[in-house]
Amino acid sequence: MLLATSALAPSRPPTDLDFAHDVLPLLQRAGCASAYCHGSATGRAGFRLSLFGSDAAADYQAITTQFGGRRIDLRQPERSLILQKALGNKAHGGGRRLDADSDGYAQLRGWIAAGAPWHGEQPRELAGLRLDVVADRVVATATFRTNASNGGRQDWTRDVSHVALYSTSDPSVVDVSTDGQIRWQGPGLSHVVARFANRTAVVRLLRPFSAAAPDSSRSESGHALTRAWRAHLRELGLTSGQAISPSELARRLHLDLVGRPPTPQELDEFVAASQTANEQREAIEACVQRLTQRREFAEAWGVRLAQWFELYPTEQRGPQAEAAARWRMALVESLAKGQSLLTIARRLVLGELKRDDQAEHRFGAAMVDRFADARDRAEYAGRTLLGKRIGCARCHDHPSDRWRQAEHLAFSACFAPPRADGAGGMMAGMLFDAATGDEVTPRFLALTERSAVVPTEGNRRAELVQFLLDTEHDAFAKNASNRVFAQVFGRALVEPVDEHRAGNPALDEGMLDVLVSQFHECEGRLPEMLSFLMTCDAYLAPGTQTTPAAITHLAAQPSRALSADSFVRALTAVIGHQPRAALPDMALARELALRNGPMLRELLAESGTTIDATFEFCATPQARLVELWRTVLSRQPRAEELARFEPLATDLPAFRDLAFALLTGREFGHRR
Amino acid sequence: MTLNRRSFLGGLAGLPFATRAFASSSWQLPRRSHRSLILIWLDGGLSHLDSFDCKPEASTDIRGDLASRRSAVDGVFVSEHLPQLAQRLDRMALLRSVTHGEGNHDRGSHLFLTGHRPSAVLVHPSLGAVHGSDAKADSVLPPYIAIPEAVQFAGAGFLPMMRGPFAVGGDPGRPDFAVRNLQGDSGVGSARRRELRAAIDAMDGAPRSDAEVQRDHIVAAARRLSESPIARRSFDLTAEPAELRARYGRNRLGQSCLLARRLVQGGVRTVLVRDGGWDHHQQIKTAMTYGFPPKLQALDQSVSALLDDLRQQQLDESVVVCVASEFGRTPRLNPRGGRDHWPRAQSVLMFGAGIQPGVIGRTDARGEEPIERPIAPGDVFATLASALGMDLDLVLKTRDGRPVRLVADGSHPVYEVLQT
Repeated sequence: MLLATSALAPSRPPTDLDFAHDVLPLLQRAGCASAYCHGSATGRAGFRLSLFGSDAAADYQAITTQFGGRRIDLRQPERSLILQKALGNKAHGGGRRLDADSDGYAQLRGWIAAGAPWHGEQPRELAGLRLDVVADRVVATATFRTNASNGGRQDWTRDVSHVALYSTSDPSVVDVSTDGQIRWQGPGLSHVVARFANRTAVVRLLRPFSAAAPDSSRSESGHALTRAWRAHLRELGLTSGQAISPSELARRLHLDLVGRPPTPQELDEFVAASQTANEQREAIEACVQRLTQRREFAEAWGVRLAQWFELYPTEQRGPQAEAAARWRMALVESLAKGQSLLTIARRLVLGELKRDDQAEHRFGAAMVDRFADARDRAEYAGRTLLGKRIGCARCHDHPSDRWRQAEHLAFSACFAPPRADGAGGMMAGMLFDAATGDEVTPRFLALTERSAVVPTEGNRRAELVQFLLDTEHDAFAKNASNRVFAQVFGRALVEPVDEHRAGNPALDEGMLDVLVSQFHECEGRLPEMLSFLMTCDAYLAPGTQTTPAAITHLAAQPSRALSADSFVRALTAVIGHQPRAALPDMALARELALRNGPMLRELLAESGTTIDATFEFCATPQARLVELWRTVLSRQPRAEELARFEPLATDLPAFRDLAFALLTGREFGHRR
Repeated sequence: MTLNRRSFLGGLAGLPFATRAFASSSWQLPRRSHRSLILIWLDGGLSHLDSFDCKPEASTDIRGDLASRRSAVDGVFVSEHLPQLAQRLDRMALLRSVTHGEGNHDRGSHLFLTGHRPSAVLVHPSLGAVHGSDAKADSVLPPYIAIPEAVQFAGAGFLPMMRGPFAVGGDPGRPDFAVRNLQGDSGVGSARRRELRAAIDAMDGAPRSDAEVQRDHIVAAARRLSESPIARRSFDLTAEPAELRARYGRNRLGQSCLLARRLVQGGVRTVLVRDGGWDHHQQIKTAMTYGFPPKLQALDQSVSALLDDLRQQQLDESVVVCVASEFGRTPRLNPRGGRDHWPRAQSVLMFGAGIQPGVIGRTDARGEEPIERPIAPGDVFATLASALGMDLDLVLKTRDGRPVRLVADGSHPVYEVLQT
C-alpha cells in the first residue's frame, strides 16, 4: 500500500526483507531478545542477542557469522539451526517459539532463503507506526522511508501486525492476543498499545457503561476542567452521584490544603458561605486563598513537594539525610514565600535554593547535584521535572519508550560536574563513554526538534533549565499539573506520574490539556492551580466507594488514609498540643503506637487541650458531644451517636476516652 | 490471553515461558516453603581477615593484630576470639569468596538484602518481604520481624509497605525488654477506649474504600498481636531457662538471637537480627575485642548457641541461618589501625535447614580477592531463597506492572552449599 511519495519517487515500494525491520522484531516478539533469554548479559547457550534488539548490527553478526555461520543454512533454509530451535525440533531451553505454519516462520525462512541480507535493495528507515481497529483486530501499519536512486524519497507502508507487540492499559476492559485480536471483557476505556522496532502507536477503545443520558444540568459549566470531566463521564455513560455536603467539603479542603480538619469556626464560616452553587465556588476560592497564605500550607505542601522531589527521610542516612532535611526545609520556605513551581524547578537545577551551610556545599548547591554521578542526576531530572523515566536506557535501549542508550548518555553529559580549568576558573564538565573511552557530546533529550541542541560550554545549566522548562515540549507543565492533580484527587491522569510516554496515555487527554493550559495561565503558582482544581465539580464527587470504574474515571473519590505526617498534623490541630514523638511509617507499628503507646494517651491527659476546653466550656453533655464531633470529624453527631455517647460527656476522663476513640477511629484517619 | 501494557518489557508478551524461563536449568530443590530464615546482619561490614578468613602467614599489616586459631575444618583459620565457632565450623557452610563492587553501605546493603544491584529506578524488596507473602492473613505474629530495628533496604521495596519488617524496637539484652507498644496500659480506661473505638467504627458503617478495608485489617492485626497470649509468650525471653539465656550471652546480640529462635518457633517466616557497630575504620583490634560485650565474643557466643539450640529444639531442619554484612574490609590496616570498606572479598556463614556444611571458596594470600569459586551477593540471595524452598523463577510485579525477577538474572544458588 503506497501512502505517500515525493515527486521523484519510484512508483513501487521495495518488497524485500531487511534484518532490522523484518527479522529483529520477530525475534523480539518471540521473546528471544529478552533479559531472561538470549538478551541477557551473557546470552543463553552460547547465543547472545542485544537486549530488546537494541543493537541490530551485533545481532545480525551473531546470527549470520558467529558459530561459524552455522545458525543459518542458506542452501537449505529450513535446516537452519535458528529455525530448528525455534520450532523445538532441536533441544532449546526456551522451548518451541514458532509454529511451522506461522507468518513469523515463513518470514524468517524467507529472509534466510533470500541470502540473509542486512537490508534489501536500499536501506530503509522506520518513519512511523499507526494502529487501527479493523473489525475485531488491531492492525499495525509501519511507514518506511527509502531513498530512491534518482535522489527522491519514497514513503511506503507495510502491515506489521504479525511482528508487532501488543498490550492493553486495562485488560478488564479489552483483552488483546499476541496476534492483535481484541476481545471486549466489559465496558470501560482502554488503550491498546502496539510496539514495533522503537516506535509505539496507541488506539483508544471505549465501550460506555450505560446508554442512558447522564444529567446534563451542569454541562454548561464555566469551568474548563468541569466541562472536560463531564464530557469524559458522558462518553463513558457514567454519572458522578450526589455532590458532598458543604461540611464534608470544608473538611476535604482543609485536609488537602493544610493537612488538618477545619476548626469549628472555620467549618461554620464555610458552610454559611456555601448556600448556593455559585456561593460555594466563591467560598472555595476564598478558603484556598486564605489557607494558602498560611505557614501551615507551606509546611503541609513542603512534605508533598519533598516526596515529588524524592527527599525521603527514611531512605537516607548520614550526611545525605541531613542534606535532604535541609532541602525539605528549603522547599517549605519557597512555598512560604509564594514561589511558583516553575521557580522551584529552576532553582532545583540552578541551585538558588542553596543555604549557606557546609552540608549542602558537600552535595552541591543544586538539588539535582545531590547525586554525584551525572547519570543519576539526569535520571532524577527526568523523573522529577520531565515526568519521564529514562533510567532503563542507562544499560540498554528503553524497552517501552523511544530512548536509546546513547541518548541517555548524551543527556547525562549535560549534568557532568564542572571541572577546574587550570587557570583558577571552572569549565564545563565532561562525561566519558565507559565502552569506548570517548568523551560524550552533551545533548538534550530529543523531545522536540529544537530541544536536541548541543549545550554551549559557557552556560550549560542555564540552557539546561531552559530545555527542561521549555513550553514547546511542555513536559514540565504536564508533569507538574499531573502531580498536583494526583495530590488533590488521589489518582493521577497519567500513572505512574513519572512515566509520561506515548505508550502510556493519560486517562483523558482533554482534561490534561485543560490542566496544562491553566498551569501556563497561572505561571505555575500552586495556590492558583489548587483553586482551579478545587472549584472543579469533580472535586465534589462523593467519597463513598461505588464501583472501581467510578473511581478510575473520577466519578467518585475513594477515601484514602492520611499519611503519618498528615495524621500528626491533624492530631495536633484537633488537640491543640504537639505530640512529642513521631509516628512510625509502617501501618502496623503506627497502629500499635496509637492503640497501646503513650503518645496519644499522654497528649490527651495534658492540661489545656482543646478537648478539655470543650468539656469545660460547653454547658451540657449534648453540647460537649456536638462540639467534640465538630472539632474532630467536622460534622454533627448523628442521633444514634448522641444517644450512645452522651452519658460519657458528663465525666472528663470518660470524655477524653471518647476523644481518644474518635481520634483513632476509621473516619478521622481518612480523607473522604 | 490477558495482556497488560507493561508486559511489553522484554518482548515477553503472552509467552507462557516468560515467567518460568529456564526453570530446568536452575538449581531446584523440593519445595519447603514453611522454612524460616534468621538473618544476622552485622551492620557496617565484618572484617573477613579478623573473623573467618584469617591469614596467619601474611605480614602484620595484612593479618592485623588479632591472632587466629585452627578450626574444626582442616586448613581454615578463624579469629582466636571465635573459639566456639571454630569448634563448630564443620557444622556450617562458610563462604569465603563472596565478592562484589559496592563499597558504599547503602548500595552494599541493597545488593545483599535484595539480591539486586541498587537502581535509581526502583528499590527491590528484601528476601524477608517476599518470603512472608504466603503467610496466613490472620496469623498472630507478623511474618517478618526485625530485632531491634530494620536495616535500610531490608524493607518491602516496591511491594506494599505492609510486607516490610515489624521492628520490635526494644533491646532484648535489657532486663526490661519489651516490644515497643505491644502492650498498652491495662486500666479500665484502656478497655473503655478500645470498646468506644469499636463502637464508633461500627456506627461509621462499612469501610468506604480499599484503604479503609486495609486499615481495618491492620487494626485487627494489632489487636491480635496485642492481646494474644501466643504473641506475648513468643516475645517473652524470661520463659527461657536462665542457663540457656546465659549460653546465648546476656547482651543485645545474644538475646536477639534467642528471641529470633523463639519467633521462628512461633511461626515467623523471617527474622532479621541487626547488630550494629561493625564499621571499624579505626583501632579495629580494640573495637572487636573490647567493650560490653566485645563484638567478636558476642558473635561467637550467640551464633554458636543458636546453632546448638536449633538442633536441640529440632528446628535445624526448618530454620535457615545466615550471618552476613554488606562487605568485607580492606586487607591492609590503615594508619589509624582500622580497616576501610572492601567489597572485593568477604565471608558469609550459613547453617541450618537445607544447608550443606563445608568451606566454599578461597581468597588470595592477602585476602584481597577470591582465587577460587567467586560468589556474588546475588548468589548468596539465591542460595537462601533456594534453601527456604522459594520459587527461584518467581517474577514480582512493581506497582506499575513491571515484571521483576526475585532472583536477579545471572544469579545462581551456590549449589555446593545446598543439600539435595
